[in-house]
Amino acid sequence: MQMIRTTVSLPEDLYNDLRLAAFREKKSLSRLLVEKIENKKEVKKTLSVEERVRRDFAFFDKVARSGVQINAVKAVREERDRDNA
Amino acid sequence: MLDREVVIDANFVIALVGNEEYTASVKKVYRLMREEKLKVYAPTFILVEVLNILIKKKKTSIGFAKNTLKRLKESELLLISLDELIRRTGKLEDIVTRYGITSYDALYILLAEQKKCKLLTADGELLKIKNLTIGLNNFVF
Repeated sequence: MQMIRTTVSLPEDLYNDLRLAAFREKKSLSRLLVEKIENKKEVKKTLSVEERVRRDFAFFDKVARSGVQINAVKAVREERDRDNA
Repeated sequence: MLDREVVIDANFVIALVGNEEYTASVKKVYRLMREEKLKVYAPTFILVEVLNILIKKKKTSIGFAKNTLKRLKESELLLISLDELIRRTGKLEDIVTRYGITSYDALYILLAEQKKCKLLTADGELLKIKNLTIGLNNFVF
């Protein structure tokens, strides 16, 4: 596989964590990064419907807890009637 | 009657990212959509409404709002462009006058009419149009 040398900027903490992980796993930082990215792509491709639904619901629940509590029906009605006010 | 295709509107999505009486019902429908057991349509305008409500009313972060829209766009939700809905059908004005509703509401009713299915909504105004709507808590699959 042809490799390309490039420069990326990483947050210092993340860089230190990755360097430590590479050292522990006896790999180069480049190899570790490629493996992590490939694994992530693989996970995304193979996620089951159940897993995707579970992730979506976990995210939606997080959104639900954020901001202020609103009544969906009332909020949409106000939005649609705003030009008639 | 079993419904295999439905149109959803913004209160479906806002209930999905909320915690209220309709949340459990919309989650069931969302799951059916993701499992490709139910065809779910919405006009692309739903993204505009949802974004506005999340930011202006729910006051959620822009990151959460963007991610919510991303999940909708990447899901099995079939988004129908306004061009297809308004220009090609030329019926938006008819819907507005026939039912005495706003043009925003009319987009969803027009889509339900076009797809020959029902709009799944919790909105009292739209539920008055009985032949084209079904209540969120009354949906049977």
